[in-house]
Amino acid sequence: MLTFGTLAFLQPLFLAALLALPILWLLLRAVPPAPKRERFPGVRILIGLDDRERTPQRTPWWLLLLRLIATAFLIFAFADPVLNPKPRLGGSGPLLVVMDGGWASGSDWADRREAALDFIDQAAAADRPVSFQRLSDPTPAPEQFSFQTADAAGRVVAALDPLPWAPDHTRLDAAIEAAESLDAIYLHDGLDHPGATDLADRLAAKGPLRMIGPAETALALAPPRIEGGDMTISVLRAETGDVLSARLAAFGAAQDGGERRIAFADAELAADTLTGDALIELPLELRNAVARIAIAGQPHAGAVQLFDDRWKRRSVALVSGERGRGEQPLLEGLTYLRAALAPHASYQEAALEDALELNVDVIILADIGRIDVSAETALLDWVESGGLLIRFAGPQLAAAVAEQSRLGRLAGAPQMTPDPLLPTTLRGGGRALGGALSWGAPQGLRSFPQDSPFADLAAPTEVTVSRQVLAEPGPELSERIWASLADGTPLVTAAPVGDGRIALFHVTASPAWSSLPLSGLFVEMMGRLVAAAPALAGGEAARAESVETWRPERVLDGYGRLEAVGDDAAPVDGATLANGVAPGIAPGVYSPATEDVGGASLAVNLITSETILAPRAAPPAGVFVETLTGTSETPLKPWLLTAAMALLLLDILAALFVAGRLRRSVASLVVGVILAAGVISDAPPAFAQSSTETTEDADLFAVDPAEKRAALETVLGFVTTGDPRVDRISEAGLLGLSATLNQRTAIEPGEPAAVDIEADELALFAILYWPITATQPELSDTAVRRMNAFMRSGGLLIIDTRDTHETFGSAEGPNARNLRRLVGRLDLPPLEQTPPDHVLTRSFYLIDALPGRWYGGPVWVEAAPQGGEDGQTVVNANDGVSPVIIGGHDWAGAWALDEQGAPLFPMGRGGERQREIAYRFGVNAAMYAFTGNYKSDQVHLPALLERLGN
Amino acid sequence: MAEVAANPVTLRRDAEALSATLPPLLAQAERLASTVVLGAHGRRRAGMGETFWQYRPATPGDAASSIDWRRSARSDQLYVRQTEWEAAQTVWLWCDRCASMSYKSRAAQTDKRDRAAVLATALAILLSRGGERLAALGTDAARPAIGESQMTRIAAAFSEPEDDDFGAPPAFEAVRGGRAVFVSDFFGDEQAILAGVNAAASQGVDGLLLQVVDPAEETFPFDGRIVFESMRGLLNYETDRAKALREDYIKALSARRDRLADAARRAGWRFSVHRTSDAPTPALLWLSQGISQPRNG
Repeated sequence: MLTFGTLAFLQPLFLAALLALPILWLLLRAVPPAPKRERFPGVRILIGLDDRERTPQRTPWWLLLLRLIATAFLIFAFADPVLNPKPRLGGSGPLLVVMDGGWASGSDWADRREAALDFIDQAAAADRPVSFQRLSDPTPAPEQFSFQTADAAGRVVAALDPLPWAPDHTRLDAAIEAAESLDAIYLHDGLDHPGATDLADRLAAKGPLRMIGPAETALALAPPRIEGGDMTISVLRAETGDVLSARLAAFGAAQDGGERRIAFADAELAADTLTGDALIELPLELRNAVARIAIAGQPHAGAVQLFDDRWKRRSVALVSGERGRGEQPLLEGLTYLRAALAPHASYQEAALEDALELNVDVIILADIGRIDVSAETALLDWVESGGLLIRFAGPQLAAAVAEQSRLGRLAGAPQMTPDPLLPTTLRGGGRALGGALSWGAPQGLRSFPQDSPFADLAAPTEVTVSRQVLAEPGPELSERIWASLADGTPLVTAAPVGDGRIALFHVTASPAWSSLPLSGLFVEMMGRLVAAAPALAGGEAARAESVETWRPERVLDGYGRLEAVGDDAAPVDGATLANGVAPGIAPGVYSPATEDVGGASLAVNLITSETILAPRAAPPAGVFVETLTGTSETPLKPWLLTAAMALLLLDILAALFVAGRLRRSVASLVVGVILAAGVISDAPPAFAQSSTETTEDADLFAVDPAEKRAALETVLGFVTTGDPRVDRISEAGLLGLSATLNQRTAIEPGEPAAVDIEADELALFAILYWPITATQPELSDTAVRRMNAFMRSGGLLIIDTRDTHETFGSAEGPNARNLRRLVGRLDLPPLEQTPPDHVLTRSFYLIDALPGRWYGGPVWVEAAPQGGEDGQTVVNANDGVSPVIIGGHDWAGAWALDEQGAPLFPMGRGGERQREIAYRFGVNAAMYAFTGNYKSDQVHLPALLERLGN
Repeated sequence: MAEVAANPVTLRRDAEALSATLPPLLAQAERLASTVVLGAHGRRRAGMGETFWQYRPATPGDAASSIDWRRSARSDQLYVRQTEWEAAQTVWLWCDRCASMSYKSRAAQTDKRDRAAVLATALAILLSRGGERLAALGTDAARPAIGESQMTRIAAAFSEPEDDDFGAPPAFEAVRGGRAVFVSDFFGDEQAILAGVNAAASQGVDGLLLQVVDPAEETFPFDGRIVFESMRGLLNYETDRAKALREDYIKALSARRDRLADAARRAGWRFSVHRTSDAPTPALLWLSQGISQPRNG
């Protein structure tokens, strides 16, 4: 082998043929180009002519050069050149191949495996037995080396992957002891592990040793730290060296169940430092969604930090004593608590008895009045052991306090026994401020006291309190106040109990008593409170021990990929897991194996805050040290042969050209094609890898422009049916109605939007027009759910069967079946035919029919509530506005205008007057949807009667 | 004018188109006395024919059946009724259809064989309309004949290529006073050509030589190292610099023409050159006039 730098010739003898090139030069010079043959009848005349120039013309120099280069390429090709030649194996006898195979080998595993396979192949060629050992194997250590054929070992190695834990360098001690002499190759990861130096010494003592280390050791990612609300995470390296910039990416769960990238951060490692910090700045909500942070371009388990939910979020149990839950969410404290807690904590709603079982950090009791004795004891125990109990006042608490104080008075006790679950004694009955019968106005907030956790929050002026429960004045009251009203009465009081704390909001969690829950302050206050809660959970180790057995849920493989583990994975003992990652215990997310324990999962990470990376000590003298090049051996022979072939082809063309046989254009075309083919085959086939990343980033905050428009301006929507003709009519109809609304009313809708109820966001629309067709497929569950939500949240759905003109008498139209098919699963209210005095007939115009192109068919709306005048007892959802209007009058057909503003369709029997009425109905419907039923108020009735009378 | 006459039908059609531009051609009869064949031309002397020529007094030896009794009854003398001697001229056509004639350079509209065949056939049509007897030498129609069927045979014959590299006019048995038209590139063996012409001339045939050449054969637009081959590849000539040969070639070509023209003149024939890049009508005109004009002297 002849080596020049990274180039080597395996058959250098062939190079001697280069000496023959000058001879070739002389030979080639003498041979003229082949003559062109020309058919020519005049040849008989030529015969006998004296040709004065019979000497052969010389081959052009460039043609000669071309041929020489082609020949040289051939000679070089047969000399078998290779780029980056592999190390050749020396020696004889059994060969021991040892690999670390731990997490730090993940980055360049392919190269390592390639290198190992290369040696094994060479051993196979030399017919040497091979024993392959991987130090990270979780299997029991071998007593002695068993040698097998190189082919068998090669098959084993080819299928190997790195393992996500550190290699065990004492694994081979016994076997090395037992061996007499060893010819060993050791592919290590360049990091110092316990016993690493020993292993090299032992191997070197037994015979020739070749140690192959990586060009660069692996980087590792230390656990993140939360400092001042920001997340800092360090990148570790083993050796100082150049300035290094590592890009970190934080991943979180995407909505579709996959992963999405949440943030990037760059860690800069200065030339002389081993660690570099990256600041991951994220809004709290996103930070809490982080499931994994990894170093980009470092595919191994040490470059990944996993997060479990316990790590970042307090868990909260919500207990509500409010009545009538779920009916009117906006009037419930739970709604506001959920919204306020969502950014800060994970919460579960539970009954009081169950809340203690949930193993949470914080329990919030919203308007819980009476607590029975056993629950009270248990709660108190829990608080004393470090829990945070947050209570909200409310009618029930006030009633309970009043009851207690009445009982106390009855019992004649001079002093009320303080409720142990309240931070301060409350007075019986609350006070109402700013009511119809009180002089005082609702109170604002006083700025927060210094020792309160809210101290640095600004008290906004718009927060007012109209009702509260009052504390009994007492000596310790002032120091227990965390927030107070302008008049000094407490708003939030808190008292330490044991290791824990009890806090009380003197108002409700709903906006009934104060506007506090509506303000951003509430969210921040809840955040402070929750953050102030001492984390009941200890470190990973303590948590791991607290559960008897863990079941791996998703574990990292040797390449740092988080893989789901099947149900059959072996459970791990809590005590074992507490010791961290070890051979056989992969880093990953573990969940308790038994269901009864509070279900928080546990992230076990390879790199802990104690981990320090160190470079491997220098190997003992006499060891052959190599660096893993990472570049594989590239044989150049095929390339040279190809090039020679191409040159020879070119030579043919050139010879033709010289002989005048080839027209210039054809020649350049052919040469161009050859060159282009060369360029294409040389082009690196790696475009696909980088492009995906950018698209991922882009869709994080992408907003559909149509949705943006619908959100920014008032837009009438129509449900696309899949029938393009019907959809066009719907669009034209709504366009006409929008124009009418613009002209005549304060509603100024933009261009109507097509709405795909399967995919689009419906909350952006107040009115949806839905023509019924036979072709529209049935709604999916999602669409049904969206439609129900749309109607429940105040949307108006106008369903048009467009078939009144095809009905006779009271028979149903042909589309009635399709109507049932499509909307049958919707949560429609009870319907009635529009009564003559329905709000729809007078919300803007006074009309007595609701015609479209056709009229006379029934138009159905939600039946009026049966409760009659007693509006208090009936939940009047959505202001009594019917969520749906169902008819068959083809309203869109009547409204439809073309681009010039001319009607698209002729009207039915009613003529243009009916079109006007149809527009008026449309205006009324829009008014109805946007303004509700205020026109039905009694106030307007006399005026309406008067105008009707006229 | 059609580019290619590939088959008898199109060849005939193209030739008809070409000959339609000329008035019917009547061959000039010079040798009335020595020909006996009846034809459409009055020979302006008594002989066999249908047109009345003269009455002459019967002489002893006249057959009784030849006496015109009606004329004799008006006088005391016996008269014999003589008719004008009507005889057709015979034209032998030779159109070279050998491989050398298939040459076509880029400057030419058509190859030489097509052009030659069209010209020859057009001439044949004109002659046929004039009632001449025609023969196509070297073909199936080599026996002189009159009429449409002969025309068709000639046209068919002229559209069939021959395999030989170069052609030479074949020898034929001629009738004195006939005419011959040779259309060729005359690039074949010079001796054979001259022999053909002389053979015909020596039989008392008067004739025309039309040399059809490709423009490339006159200008010799070649350069570089070239092996020139005859169309069948039997002859070849290699040169390293064709351009240097050009002047010599042109000189040799004109010398050859001079020799041909000289030989033609000596035999009382005429010689002309037609290039395939030119329009064919002048050549046909030359041919038709040459046929109808009396022989020099």
